[in-house]
Amino acid sequence: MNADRHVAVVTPWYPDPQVPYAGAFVEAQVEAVSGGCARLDVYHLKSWSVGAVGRPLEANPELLDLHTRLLARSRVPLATAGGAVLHRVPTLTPRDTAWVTHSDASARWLREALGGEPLAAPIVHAHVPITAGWAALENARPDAKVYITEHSSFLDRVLEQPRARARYEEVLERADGFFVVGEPLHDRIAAEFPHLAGNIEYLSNPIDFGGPRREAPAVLHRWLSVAALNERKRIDYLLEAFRRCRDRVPDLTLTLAGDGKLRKDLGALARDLGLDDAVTFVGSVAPREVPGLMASHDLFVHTSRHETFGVVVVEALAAGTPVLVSRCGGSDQVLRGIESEAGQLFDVDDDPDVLVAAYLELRERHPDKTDVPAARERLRAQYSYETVAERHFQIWDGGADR
Amino acid sequence: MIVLFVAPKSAWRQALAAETRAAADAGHEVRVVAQEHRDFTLAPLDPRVETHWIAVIDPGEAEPALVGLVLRRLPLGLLRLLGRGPLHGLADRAARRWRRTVLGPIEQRRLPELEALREARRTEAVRAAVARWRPDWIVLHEPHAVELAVSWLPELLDARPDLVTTFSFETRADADHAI
Repeated sequence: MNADRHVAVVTPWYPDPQVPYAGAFVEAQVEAVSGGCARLDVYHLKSWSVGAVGRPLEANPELLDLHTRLLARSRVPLATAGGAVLHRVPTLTPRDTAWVTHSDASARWLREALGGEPLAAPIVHAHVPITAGWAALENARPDAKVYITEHSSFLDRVLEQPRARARYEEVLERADGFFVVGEPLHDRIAAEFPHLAGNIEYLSNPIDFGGPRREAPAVLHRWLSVAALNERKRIDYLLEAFRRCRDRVPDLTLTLAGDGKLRKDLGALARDLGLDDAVTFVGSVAPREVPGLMASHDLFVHTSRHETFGVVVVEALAAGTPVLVSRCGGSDQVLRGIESEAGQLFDVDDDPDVLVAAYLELRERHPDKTDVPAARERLRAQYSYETVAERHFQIWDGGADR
Repeated sequence: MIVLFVAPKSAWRQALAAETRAAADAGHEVRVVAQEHRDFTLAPLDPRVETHWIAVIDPGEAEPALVGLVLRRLPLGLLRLLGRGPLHGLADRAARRWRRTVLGPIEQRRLPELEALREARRTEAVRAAVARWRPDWIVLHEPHAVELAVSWLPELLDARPDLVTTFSFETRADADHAI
């Protein structure tokens, strides 16, 4: 191991006291690799929206001057995972839907936070190409290697804007390594930029395999969903399917972890469906609490329409909990070859009976014809902190697998 | 030290509750200037924190008295009375329709005026809090805190270069342990 590594991580998402789960996978990456680094600095470029809608930042030069002055005098190195140092960089952005303005703002405010100097680290790993990726490229020292990972579920909206698309292509060309967390992103970017498809590689998010339950559950009564309460996650579909399952298996309960703009509507739907006693909304859950939550339920259920990577699916199996998940892209890839051991997949379909049928089939098969410990071991070999950290070190040190 | 958190829109209430508590735990005298918000019941501030609340300006406060009386208070009051009887469903629907079709457009037209009024009240409150508490450390806790600070902070920084400013109050890296 090369403990001389000096690394800067640049990211638009990182947990903070307001949203403790935002960018938890970046924090996990930091924790995983910190043991192999002599120094690791995280630059969190959190977007701070200012001004009236459509008004450019330059329209308020006094604000720009003040923020520049504040960044210079407000440098506070904060403690974060694995002994790394966290630098919060409030990134003033206009209320503008053009991604290129957010990209420019990210580069600008990182430069100001650094006092005009380049990032000191010779290895820079950024997350989200259009914002922090661009900021990293524009602020890295000339001899630094810049690696970038794409995770975002909003990539289509970026690529439909011509200027943002051109910026994205430039990032893809300039990066020393360009990574995606799952097949859906790989296929999307390769289709958009076929001449650069060879530049795209896989790099997983690390998952904590530290605390599994003692044995897989014998019955699948206590369901759990860990998902934002938004349209893409289809919690309304889950509630209806759960109600139909509960008509057949009255002992079922459902815990919904996560929050979002549909919280009130989904609470009303649960009441309308007569599920008040069976469904519990627990709100947002801190990342460190997720393994315990997974281990205290019998079945992890995921109904998302589309995912770039199946983090929560791996987390569930890491905790030893069988899964019932939609074929939403990321989950298919994660479970390839271990579908029947891990639980049951079902198609993304608007008919709740699709989930009901999948549950009943899994209930028939479990536990005799599932093998959650085997699925867990298979995933551990791909996604554990140790495995993913080693992959990072290979990349950063110019390893042979690249 | 006297640490003043400036949160004129109370945008990030959960963080405000957590960080002010951490500052108080660290032995600081913690002050907050923030806008009233009912969701502070979900993320209450620590009792050790002294707060200057900025009152919310309702749309009605920005309209002329006659408009307020004729188009807001009288019709809505009448519908409220009706709503206490058997016609409550009809009265509720009529009140919603009145708000949407009559008051909505008026509020939309007056929005810039209303925003200016709110901005002035927030700025005045922040200035008053800074003058009253003379903080050693100012935490500009949300984007609007920086926007409002344009009108008062540069002058204060010139006068008091030792004033500490940050954007949050979180655990600092220990130089001995940082990797």
